[in-house]
Amino acid sequence: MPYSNILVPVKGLPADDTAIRLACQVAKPDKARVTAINVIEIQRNLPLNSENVTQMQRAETVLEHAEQVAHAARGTLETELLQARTAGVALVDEAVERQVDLIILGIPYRSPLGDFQLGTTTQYILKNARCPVWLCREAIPTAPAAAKTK
Amino acid sequence: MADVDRSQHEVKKSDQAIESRRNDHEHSVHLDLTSLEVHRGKHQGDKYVRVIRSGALRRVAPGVLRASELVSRPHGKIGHLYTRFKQVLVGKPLPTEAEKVERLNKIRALAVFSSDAISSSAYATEEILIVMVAAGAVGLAYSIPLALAIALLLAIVSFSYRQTVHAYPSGGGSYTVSRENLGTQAGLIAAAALLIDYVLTVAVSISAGTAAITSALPEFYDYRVEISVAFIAIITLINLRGIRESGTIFALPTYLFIVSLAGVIALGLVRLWLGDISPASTPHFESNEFEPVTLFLILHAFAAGSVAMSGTEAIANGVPSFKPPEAKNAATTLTWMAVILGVFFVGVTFLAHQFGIVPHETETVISQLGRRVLGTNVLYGIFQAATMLILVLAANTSFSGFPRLAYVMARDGFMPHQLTFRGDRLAFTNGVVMLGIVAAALVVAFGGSTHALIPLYAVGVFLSFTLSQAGMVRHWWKTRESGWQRSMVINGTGAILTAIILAVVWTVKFQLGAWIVFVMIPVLVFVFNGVHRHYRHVAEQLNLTPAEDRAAAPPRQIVIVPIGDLNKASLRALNFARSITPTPVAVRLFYESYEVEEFRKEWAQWGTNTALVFLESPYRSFHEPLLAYIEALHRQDPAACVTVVLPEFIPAHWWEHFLHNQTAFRLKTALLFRKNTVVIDVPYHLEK
Repeated sequence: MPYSNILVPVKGLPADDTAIRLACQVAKPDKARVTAINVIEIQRNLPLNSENVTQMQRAETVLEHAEQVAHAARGTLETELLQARTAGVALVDEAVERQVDLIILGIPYRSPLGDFQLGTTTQYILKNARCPVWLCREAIPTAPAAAKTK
Repeated sequence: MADVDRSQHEVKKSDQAIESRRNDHEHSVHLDLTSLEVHRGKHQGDKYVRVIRSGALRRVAPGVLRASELVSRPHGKIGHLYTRFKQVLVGKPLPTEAEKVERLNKIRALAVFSSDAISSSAYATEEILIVMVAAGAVGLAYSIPLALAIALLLAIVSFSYRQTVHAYPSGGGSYTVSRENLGTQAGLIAAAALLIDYVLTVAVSISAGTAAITSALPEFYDYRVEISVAFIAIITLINLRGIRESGTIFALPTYLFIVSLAGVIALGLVRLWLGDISPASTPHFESNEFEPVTLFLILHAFAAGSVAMSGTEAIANGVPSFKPPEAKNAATTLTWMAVILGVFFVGVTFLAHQFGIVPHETETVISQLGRRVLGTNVLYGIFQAATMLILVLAANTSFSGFPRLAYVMARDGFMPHQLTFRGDRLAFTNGVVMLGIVAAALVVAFGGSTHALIPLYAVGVFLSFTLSQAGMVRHWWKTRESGWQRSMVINGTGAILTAIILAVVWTVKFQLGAWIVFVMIPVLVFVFNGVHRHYRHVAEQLNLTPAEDRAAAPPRQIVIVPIGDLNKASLRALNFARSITPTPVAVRLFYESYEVEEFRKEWAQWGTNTALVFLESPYRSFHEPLLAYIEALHRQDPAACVTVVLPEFIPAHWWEHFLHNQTAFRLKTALLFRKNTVVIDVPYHLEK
C-alpha cells in the first residue's frame, strides 16, 4: 500500500534510528513525506507555551540526529517540535492535522516491573491513532543488560 | 467520514493562535526565527503548541541560533557531486563539539607524534658508525659509549619536555617556552628553526622512501620527483581527514616497525647469549689508513648520532590533541617514545658492534643487522618493509607538528590568521596544505635527492632544543616551584649539551648546505615580525576607544544613485536610496547631447521628485567622471559619508553575464578602495 505522509515520533532513543531508516525506506518508492516529531512535555503547573532552554536544546539535538540518520539512509526528513501536556495526545492530534497515513514508532525493550511494558505514549497512539501504526521494537537486550533494566 | 475529518480540521485551523516566542522587538519578523502556534486537539481542552522553527538554523537559547548541518548541504547536482567528491577525499564534516572525540588516545598519539623520532633509530647508529669508521676498529669501539651518551641526552631532553608539557599544557613547545621566558625574538628563532625542520623532515623522509622504491624498481628512477610529490599529496590528504583518522591509518606501520625492530633486538640478544651467532672479531675495512680518535671526531659522531632526537619536541607542541587529561597523557606518551627510541638506538648500536657491522654503500646497517639476526627470509622482508614505511611516515609527525605550531603562532599574530582555520574535519587545514605545498616545492627544487637535502636536516632542531631548555631554566628560576633546583640543573645540563651539539652540527654541516638554514632563520624571523607589525597596526586602528566611538554621531549621508536607463532595476535602487535619505541624487552619465532631453522626459514620468544631475563624458569614459563627481561632492562636506547605491540586474543564468557590460561591477571595483565611501548593491533578479 502506498503511503504519502509518514510520521515518526522521536525521543532520542536508539530505537528511533531504526524507525527513521524504515520510514525512509517505505517513503522512497512513492516519494512520501517523512516527518520526525519530538514532543516536549510541559508540566501542568507551567503555561503550555513556557520555554525550558535545556529541554529545547535536547529536542533540537534529537531532531538534528534524526536528520543525520535520514540523510545517511539517503532519505529526506522534515522535523517538527511540539509542546504539550501529554506527548501521545499531541502526536495523535498532529497526525490528524497533517493527514498522516502511517505512524512508525521505534520502541525500546523495557521491562521495569519484570514484564514488558509498552509505555503510555505508545499505548495512547496505538489506541487512538486513525492511521496504521507500525512498531519497531529494539532487540531484547542480552542477559546482563536485561538484569540492569530490572 | 473523510468530510467530517476535513471540516474538523478546518475548524481547528481557524482556532489557531499564533504568537511570537519573543515579542520584545519592534520588528515584524521573528529575530530568533521561532514562533509558537497553539492548536486545539480533538478533545475538549486538549491543546498543544507547535514550535515553528527555521529549517537550517536552530534556536538553542533566547537570542542564540545554531546553524545545523542542513546549512552546508549542497544545492543542485554539481553541488551534490562536489560535496560527495570532497567527502570521499576528506570525510564528512565534523561539528566543533566532536573535537574532544577526535582527540588522540596514547596509542594513536604515539603513532602520530613519534613516527619521526622512532624512525630515526633506523639510521642514527649508521650516522655514528659512518663518522667513527674513519678511525677503524678503535673508532668503532666508541660507538656504544656514544650511543649511551646520546640516550642519556635523549632522557634529559625528554624529561625537560615532560616538564614543558605540564608547565605549558596549551601546546607550543619550544616556541612558547622560549617566547615566554627568553623573549619574543628567541621564541621566533625557535619557531623558525622548528618550522624549517618540519618541512625538511617531510622532504627528506619522503625522498628517502621514494629512493627505497626506485632502488628496488630502477625503471621508476626518472619519475622520483613525481612519485615523491604524489606521496606528499597522499599524506596531506590523509591529514586533512583529521588527526584521529590519520592516527588510525598510520598506527599500523608504526607499530609494525616497533614490534619488528623489538623482535630483531630481542632475538639478536638471545642468539648472542646462546652463542648461536658468533660475534665478528674484527670488522673488514677497505683501507688500512685510519684517522686518530680526536675530540672533534667524537663530537662529530655524537652530533651525527643526535639526529635520533629530531621529532622529540612534537609531543610538547601537540598537547591539546590528546584526550583529557591532556598533559598527563602527553607526558606518558613522551616517556614511552623516549624509552622505545632509547632502547632501539642503544640496542641496534650494541648489536651492530657485537656483530662487527660497518656501514656499507649498498646496504644499511639496520638491514645488515636484520639479515644477521633473522636470515634472508620472509621475516627479513617484513622487517625491511616496516623500516621503509616508518621512514616515509616520519613525515606524518611534521604534519601534526607544523600546523599546530603555525596555529599557535597565528593566534599570537606572527603568522597569517588563516592558519588558525580548522576545516571540515577539525584539522588545521591551511597549515596542512601549506606544509604539503612547501615540502613538495622543496622536493622539486632539489630534484628529489635525499643527499642534497640531508645536510639541511636536523640543524634547526638543536637550536630549538637549546632555546627551549634555556627557557625552562629561566622558568624554574622565576617560578621557584617545589624541586626547582633539581629541574633547573637537568634543564641547564640539557641546554649546555644541546648547545654543544648545535655548535658541532653547524660547524660540520655549514659548508655542506646548512648555511641555507642559517640564512632562512633570520629571514623567517623578519617575516614573522613584519606580519606581527601589520596585525598590531590593524588592531591599533580598529580597537574601540570608549571616548570617541560611543559618542560618535551617525555620519551625514550623501547618497548617489548612478543611473543608465530608467527601468525596474534603477527604480528599485532609487526607492532604496530614499529609504536611507529623503534627498538622494540620481546621476545620469551621457555621451551625446540628445540623450539629455530624452531622459528628462522619462524622468518626469518615473523620477518621483528625486534630484537629477547629468554628467557629460565627451571622451566616453565611464567611471572616471563619476568618481570625479563623487570626489567633488565629498570635498564640500568631507565629514559626510558618501553612499553609492548601484542598481544591478542579475541574469537568470551565469553565462548570460557575458552578454552585459558589468558596469555595476566595474564601478564597485573602482570604489572599493575609496575612503569614507559605502557601496550598496541593489540587485534585481531576472526570471528568465
